[in-house]
This record gives sequence, structure tokens and C-alpha cells, in this order.
Amino acid sequence: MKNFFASTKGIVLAGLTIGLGAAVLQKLGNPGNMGVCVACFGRDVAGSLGLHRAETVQYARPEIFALVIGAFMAALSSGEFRPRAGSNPLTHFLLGALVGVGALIFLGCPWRAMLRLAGGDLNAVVGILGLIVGASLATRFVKKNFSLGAAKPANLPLGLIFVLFMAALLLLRVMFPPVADQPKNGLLLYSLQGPGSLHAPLWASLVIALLIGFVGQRSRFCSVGAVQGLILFRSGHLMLGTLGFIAAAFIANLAFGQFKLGWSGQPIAHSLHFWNFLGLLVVGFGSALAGGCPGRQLFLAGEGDGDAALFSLGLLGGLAMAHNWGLASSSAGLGPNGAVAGALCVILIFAIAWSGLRKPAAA
Amino acid sequence: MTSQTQGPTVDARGLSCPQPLLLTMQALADGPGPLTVIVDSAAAAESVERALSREKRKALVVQNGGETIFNISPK
Repeated sequence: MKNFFASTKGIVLAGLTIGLGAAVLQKLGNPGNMGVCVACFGRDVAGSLGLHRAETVQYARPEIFALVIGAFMAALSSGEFRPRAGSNPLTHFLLGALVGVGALIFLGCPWRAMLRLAGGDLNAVVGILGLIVGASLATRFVKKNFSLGAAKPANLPLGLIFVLFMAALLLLRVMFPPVADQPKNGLLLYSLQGPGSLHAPLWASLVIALLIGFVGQRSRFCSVGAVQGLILFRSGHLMLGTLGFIAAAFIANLAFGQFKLGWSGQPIAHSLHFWNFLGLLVVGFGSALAGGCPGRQLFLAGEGDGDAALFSLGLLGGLAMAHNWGLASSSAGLGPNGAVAGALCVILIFAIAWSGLRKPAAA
Repeated sequence: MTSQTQGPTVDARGLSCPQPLLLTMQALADGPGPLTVIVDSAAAAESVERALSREKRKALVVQNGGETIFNISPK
């Protein structure tokens, strides 16, 4: 195989790199057990752009932009940049939004679930069980020929739109950096307290997230794919990546004094087991139907996948609305409308799954 | 497109993960005969390649632009 990162050693190295990179970013200032989180950081980006008004979670996270740009550079360098779109775009958008709400009921994307586990937060175990059940549910539908339809090759500009959007946001972050005691600089809003005020230096966020984006694209690292690979094909290939991710973050957390075992007092987490389970069930189910976990969707968007870009934009919208409508949890527990939202997310994803079932093609 | 295709064809172009591999595995389970699989993403091509190695099936692999065509030999 020409691509080293597609080998067993390659996927493990990718997992180790991402897990270690996340732990280092936490050490350098990112919030607890949140070295990298596609949902939390997406939510912070939404806040910084003024898409929601939760003042403690507003920061234009360079990691999000750099993950996409890193994947774009990897795809370009390997000849894999391939603009494509047209696989039920609006459904991809909706799935992204639902996944965003589910992630904020749990408080993290699958990557953060693994980082929370590697930091000793036992609530993550409950969430990860939900993620596994959600991805398994999707698997049942995929086996019955669930499909959002085939994407078609698209022209160059379509493949570049999302990458350029991310580059533009990164440029804004550089032009309007956070200023001490100022809630706004230029176009961007910045938290003065709370998770949004905690961040690694710009250069570190950029370098590490570019690296993660690069190895992520090359290795096809995907937390939901890891579960589906085991269930559908008895292939542990992608699972080895996630195990490497958890192992590297765990060891680095121990070394940095970032490990604390327990259920309570964990950073940006709650102990409502049912909702932790359900939140990541929504994430696992919805992401799997869309073809990959939120992190993987960013990598795909970097390759020119317009449907993955729409999933990511839907995610951004869902994350913003989760705060506008009181759907997002906090350390204090569920948001005022979190329970209704969680139930609705499950119903809607089942509806999408059923509506996407196709009769097997005639042989 | 090759004109040398043999047996049934799985056209998995444009499909997202895990459908290309799933369709391939379902077709392989249908019988030991020849099979042609067409994918258009490197991720799908790699997953099919790994699966063929797991299943000990031999294939002639042709690159055609962004597409990868697996001409899988009978078992």
C-alpha cells in the first residue's frame, strides 16, 4: 500500500499523534479534557462570530480552521483533493445540526469523550457506550441499504469554498486577536471567563491542529468508523487508531498531572448518566449516517467534499442554536430544554434513517 | 473504464463510508466468482484493499484518474 498512514502502523501513529497533540494543547492552555473538541470548539467559534450569546463560550478556535486546512494540504500533496457534492446536501446539514445538539447534551464530540476518558472522567464511559450503540444502530440501517445517495464530482470552486471560509476565519482571528479585559475585538467576540477564555497560544494551536489535520486526512482516522468497522467487517483497523489516541492522551495526561479519576468534579462535565448516554447516541447515530464522526467530516471537507462541509456548517448552526434555545448542558446539568431536544434528535435521526432505506437494486 | 470487466460489478463511486466496503463484502459473500468493484475515493480503495487481503482474494487493480477498479479473480 502506497499510503503509509493506511497501514496498521500508520493508523496507530495517527491516533497517537492526535491524542498527544490534544493533551499538549490542554497543557498549553486549552480547557480541561478539551485539548481538541470539534463540538466544543465549533460552539466557541459560533459564539465568537456572534451566532449565540453564551458569553463564557466565545473564542475563534484556530484549531477548527487548522484541522480543515491541514487536511486540505494533505489532500493536495497526495493528489486526493477531489471536489464532490450532491449526496442529499440538506440531510447532511440537518444531521450535522442534530449531532451538534447531541454533543452539547453530553458536552463533547467523540474525540472529547475519549479525552475525558483519558483524563479520568468516568462519565465518558457512559457517553462512549451511547456512541457505540448509536453507531451500531446506524449499522443496522446501512445493512438494509440505507444511503444518502452518491456524491458527484464537482468543480474546483465548490471544493474550495469551505476551505477558503476556514482560511478567512483564521485570518480574522489573526487580525483581531483577543485583548485582555475586552469582550470584543473587531468582528470577533471573546469570553473573559469560562471555557472560552481558556486557550493555548495561537502558534501552538495552529501547528498542532495542522499536524492533526494532515495525519487525520492521510489515515482516515474516524471514531465512528472504528465502531462500524468492528461490527460490520470484524476489522479493528480504525479502532487501533482510537486506542492509540486514548493511550497517548492518557500517558501524556499522567505526565502533565492532568489525570484525575472519578465521576464528580470533572471539568466541563455532568453526571446525568441517561443524558450522557443519549447525547452521544445521537452523535454516533447521526454521524455514522453521514459517513463519519465530526472530526472526520472536517477532514473530508478539507478534501473538497461539499456534503461533509454542509454537515460541518449544520454542526456549527446546531451548536449555536443549542445555546440560544437552552439545549446545551453545563457542569450544573441539563439545559432547560435539553430533555425535549434530546428526544427530538433521536426521533429525527430515526426518521432520516428510515427515509434513506432503499430497496436492494435488482440483480 | 476498462472493457475487461468480469462478473457482476459493484459501482460504489460517490458513496460514503462504510457503503463501498459493505457492498463489496456483500457481493463477495454471494459467491466465489469474479467481481469488479469501482470506487472513487482513496479511503474506500484502501478499505477494499485491506478487506481483500483479509479475505485472501486476489485482484488486478487499475487506476483510472481518481477511480480505482478492482478486478477480483474467482476464488
